[in-house]
Amino acid sequence: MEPDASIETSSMIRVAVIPISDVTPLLFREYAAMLLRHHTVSLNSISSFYTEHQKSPFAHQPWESGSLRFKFILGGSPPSPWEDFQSNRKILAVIGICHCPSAPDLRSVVDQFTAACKTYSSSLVQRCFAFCPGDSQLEDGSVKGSNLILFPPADRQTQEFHMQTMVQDIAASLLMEFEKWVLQAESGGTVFKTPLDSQASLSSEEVIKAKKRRLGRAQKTIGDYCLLAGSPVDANAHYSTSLELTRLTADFFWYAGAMEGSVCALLMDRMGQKDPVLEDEVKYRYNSVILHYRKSFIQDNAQRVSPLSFELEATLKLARFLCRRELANDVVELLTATADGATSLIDASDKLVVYVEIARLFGELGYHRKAAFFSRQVAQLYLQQDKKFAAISAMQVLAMTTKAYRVQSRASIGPSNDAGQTHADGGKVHHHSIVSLFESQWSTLQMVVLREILLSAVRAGDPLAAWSAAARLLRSYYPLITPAGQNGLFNALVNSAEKLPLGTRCSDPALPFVRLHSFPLHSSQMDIVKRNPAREDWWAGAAPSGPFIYTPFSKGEPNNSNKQELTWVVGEPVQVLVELANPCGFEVMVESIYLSVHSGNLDAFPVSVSLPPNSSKVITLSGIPTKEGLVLVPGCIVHCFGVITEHFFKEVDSLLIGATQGLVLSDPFRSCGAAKLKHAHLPSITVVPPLPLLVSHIAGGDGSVMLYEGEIRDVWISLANAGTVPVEQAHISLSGKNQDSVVTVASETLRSALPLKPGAEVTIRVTLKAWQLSKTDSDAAASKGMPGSSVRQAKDGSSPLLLIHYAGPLTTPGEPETVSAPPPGRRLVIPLNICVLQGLSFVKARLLSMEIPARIGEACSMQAQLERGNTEQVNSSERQADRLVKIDPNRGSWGLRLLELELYNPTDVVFEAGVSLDMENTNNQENLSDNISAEYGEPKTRIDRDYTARVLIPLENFKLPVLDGSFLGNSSQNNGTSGSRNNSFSEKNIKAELNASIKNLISKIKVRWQSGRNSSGELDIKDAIQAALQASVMDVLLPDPLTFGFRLAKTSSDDINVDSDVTSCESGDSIIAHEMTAMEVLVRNNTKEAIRINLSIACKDVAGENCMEGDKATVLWEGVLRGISMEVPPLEEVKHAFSLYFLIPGEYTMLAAAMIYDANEVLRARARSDALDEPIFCRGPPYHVRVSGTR
Amino acid sequence: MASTACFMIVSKNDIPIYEAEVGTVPKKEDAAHQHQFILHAALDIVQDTAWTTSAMFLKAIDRFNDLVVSVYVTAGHILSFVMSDFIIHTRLMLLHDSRNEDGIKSFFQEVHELYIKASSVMFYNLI
Repeated sequence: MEPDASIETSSMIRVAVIPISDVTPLLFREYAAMLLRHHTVSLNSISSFYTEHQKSPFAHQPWESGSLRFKFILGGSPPSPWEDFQSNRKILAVIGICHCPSAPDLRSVVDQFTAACKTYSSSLVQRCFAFCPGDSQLEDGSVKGSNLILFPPADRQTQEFHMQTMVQDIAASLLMEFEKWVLQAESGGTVFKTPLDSQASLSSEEVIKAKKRRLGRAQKTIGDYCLLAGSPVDANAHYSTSLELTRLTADFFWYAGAMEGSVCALLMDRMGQKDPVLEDEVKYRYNSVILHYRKSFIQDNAQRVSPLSFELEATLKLARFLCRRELANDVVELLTATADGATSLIDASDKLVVYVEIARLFGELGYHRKAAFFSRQVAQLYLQQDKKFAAISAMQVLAMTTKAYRVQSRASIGPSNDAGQTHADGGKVHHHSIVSLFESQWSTLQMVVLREILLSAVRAGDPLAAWSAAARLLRSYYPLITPAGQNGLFNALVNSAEKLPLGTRCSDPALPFVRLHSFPLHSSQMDIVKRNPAREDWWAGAAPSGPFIYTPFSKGEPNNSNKQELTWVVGEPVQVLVELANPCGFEVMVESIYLSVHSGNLDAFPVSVSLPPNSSKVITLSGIPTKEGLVLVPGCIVHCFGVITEHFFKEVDSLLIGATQGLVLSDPFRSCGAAKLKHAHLPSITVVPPLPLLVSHIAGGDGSVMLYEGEIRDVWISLANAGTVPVEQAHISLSGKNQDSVVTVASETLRSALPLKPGAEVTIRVTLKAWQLSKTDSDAAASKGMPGSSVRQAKDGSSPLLLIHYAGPLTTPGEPETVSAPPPGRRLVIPLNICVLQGLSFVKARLLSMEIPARIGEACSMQAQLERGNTEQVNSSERQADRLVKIDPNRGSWGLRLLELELYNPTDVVFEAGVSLDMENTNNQENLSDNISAEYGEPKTRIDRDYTARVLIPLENFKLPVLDGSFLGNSSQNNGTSGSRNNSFSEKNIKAELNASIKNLISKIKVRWQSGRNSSGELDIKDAIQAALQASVMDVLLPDPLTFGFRLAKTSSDDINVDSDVTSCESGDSIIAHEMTAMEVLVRNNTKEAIRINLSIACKDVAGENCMEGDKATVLWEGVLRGISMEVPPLEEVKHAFSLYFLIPGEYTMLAAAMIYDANEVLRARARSDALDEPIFCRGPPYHVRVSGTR
Repeated sequence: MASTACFMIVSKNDIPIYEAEVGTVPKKEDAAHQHQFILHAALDIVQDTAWTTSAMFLKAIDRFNDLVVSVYVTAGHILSFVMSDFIIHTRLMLLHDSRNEDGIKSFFQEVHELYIKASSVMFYNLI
């Protein structure tokens, strides 16, 4: 049995190609390759070398179209016992190949070659090709005449031409030898024997039989030579004769042989044409061949030799001839029959060849599973031989079956093209592709095959193949392998690794299973924001744009791991979380694992990890991007079990998808108890050039700032550029809850510090004001106690966030300006951890009124001042004069309203509260100093823990200086008097204006508190004040249209200065009974229009607190002065002098009142009178007069 | 007489969904592998032959040594599922050494009936 047998084999001249002297295998193969190209030599080309010595027996040789065919057998082969039967089995020529530089002595080369040729007794032509001879060798004449042919060093083309010539020469020589042989054979009495013929003694009967058969056999052999000589017509003639003769002598074996030869001649004659008729003919004849080989079976020597191998070979030859998809049925039938027959083959190597051929033919037919099946049979035959080379062959054959059984090594698949490819279609893996991955669930077969590969690799001493097989077996079939088996594989891995050099790489990963867990989000300190160069607020463009506020695609946080894009920065460490699983019963020591980066722009850091049996672990792999561009991280490089392997995330993903669909045995992560993980996709990762990196640090620690409600405090935040690029743009904004609590941010400081060089630092001030705790918060705080609540507060996320968007230069230095996208910017999020504690709490507010009549006699100082200055000054001095709580007794406090605030201190510290009035709203610069003094001069109210205190706020100061339409409505002012006539004075306008005024007023009232040395703040009590003031706001805010005052008239000669005035005031009583007392009533118009009035002055003696109102007063003396008509010009004061003569000393009360004529809308509104014709009555505060007795 | 028989149901994509040694020969681990190997290899031939004949029962379609593979190819049932229509082209394969064709045929028919019953259950998803 010979491999590669085909019908045409009969026409091939077998040539042994043997190395002579020292030729390295590589060189030998190289020289042989040059030779092998000349497997067919046309008769046409050899005619020049051919000389017809005698009449050629090949009468019909096709010199024009025919050719000689060679079958070069590298290394030669031992002679076959069937040489006589099939002449093509003879080695008819020997070609030696010698490399001259390694064989200096050509003589010895010739000797060696001659010796080598002796083993090939059947050879007719011998040549020794000596390549690359040196000059001395070329000149060496001693080898002339031998069959050594020197190939002088030349270029390849020349050498090939030389080679072709030599082969043609050999072909011509062979042809002449064939002629010689045929002529001899025809005449001579050569006996042709095969091992089938009885070898023992030739009995007379057998001799006669042999003589009879000799002719037929001779004809067949001549036919063989005709075929070899490329003359099919001659061959056919001889075969026909032979067929006749062998049929007659019942020499079935030779008959079949002749028939085979005739088919070959037929095909040669047809020059490779194939048509159905020819095919049928070949099929028919070959069936006859097979039949006759079978017939030639002789029971006698069946133990020793059998024609079965020829029968099978013939079957295989036919199968090879027919091997086409359309004739698959026939071929399968033939091959099945061959396989059946193979079982009864005696020779193991014959069986091997048959199985190899069957496998090849099935493979050619496209029946890969069948081919794999027979290949495995071959491998088993090899494995039965206990030799290393057999084991290597077994391993190689099994490696070929892995594709059909779908257990191929990743190395045999070749570098997978899409290993590093990201899922462009949103990570969707088609069902179909997954199915095809696990298409074959023949796990039993797969395990058997892998086990056999492992076994053969171990025997063959190929540790890498063994490692790979064990790895595949363990990784794919661990659920089906018992713990003992798993340990065995573990040992196999370790043992193989020991034989491998350190750092060996294997394409097939073993354990552990590695899957992508997640990409940790950039810390809020390092957020990367796309830069929109077209906009001033470049960070704004980064938000998802489009007509929809909500798009399902942009769902989630912008930095969600689901996002398909990720940005890494050159030089900044990045982290990737991967999950490892070891579902096996032994501990897996991962010596190192690191990210595998195909794009080569990331330095990955190895990590070592140990996985106990049946466990999984999430580990962080880190690296530093080194170059900008895309990063491909398709998996991890794992150094485990002594070998370095690459684990692709995608494979495990497919495995897991397969597991969910029941296509794969088991999910390794789930069996290890790992949490079910949402499928993490590999995002496309871009590395951008270095960016600035701001690092924030809050002065006094990054912990939360503890503030009492309403407390105001400055926080200093230092920002340092930890990157390598200066910050050139920066913008501060606020986000999150309670943004109001950030009063000011010194963004100017930051802006002025730009560009912030690497390493530079800037400190910005942020003023915080603690917000009010809501009712529920404070309740909870009360129930839980302070510390608990503070923690909760801090965690609530109720604190505001300071967002700083910053970016480096638009272009990196050294690069052209035309770079399309500028490097992105960054966002720094500084959470202002404010922890608000319950502070001074407000209980209630009340409006109180205090009425103390003024004294007339002591009002002189005021008068003096009034006379001196203009109204503005008066106003301010007035304000200065009557401090908030200090009431000038001379002036009294008629109509003075006080706002009483009740405050409670539930904390455990002491608070000091003080009321201040912010007069910032007044436009007079002069007042500023007053305000400050007002603020600082006020007394503090100390409120101890768990105590309640009341704070009074006098509201007199808020009286507006002028009663003007503008305070009540715009229309009156705009339209003047005519405008006031129409009824556009709507209630609504009044209300709106009033509210504005109230707000203004309220905003001026500030209750500041202080606790300890550095806690200070403000109570937020606006609502409470508003509620308290709502009812009587008009009275509080608006001045009366007319104010009245009394004073003693000066004597005519009086031109006293202030000082003397003061002294006189201090002197005390100045009104004496029984004297004419000159007095003046002062009427001041507070409006901007002149008012005509009818003034009346009443004087009563005092017996009660308020004798003017109420009925309880007992009035003994009363006098009224009425009917004083006067007109008071706008914003001016009018004096009306009168005299009183008191009869009885005592306390008197004086009261001025006036009836206003022709009141306008302003006045009417102030008086709250609706009727147009109703007179408006205006009354001043009561003044006390003390009348003393005689001096 | 002890007989070998290995029965297998192979679903679409050539995925085996059922495998059983039904012979009376005492079970040997190696033999079971060998049986599966033979059946697996026979799929190549079934795949071609199934389209050349209308017969469902393909007797002795393949053989190795004295083991014969007979196959019963179910017609491409179109099972209308709620959402999708797909063809389940299932092959019932038997590796046997007995020549009792009729017995094998009736065995296949019986199994086929049961198989249809099982696969007609709407919620039963045969891979």
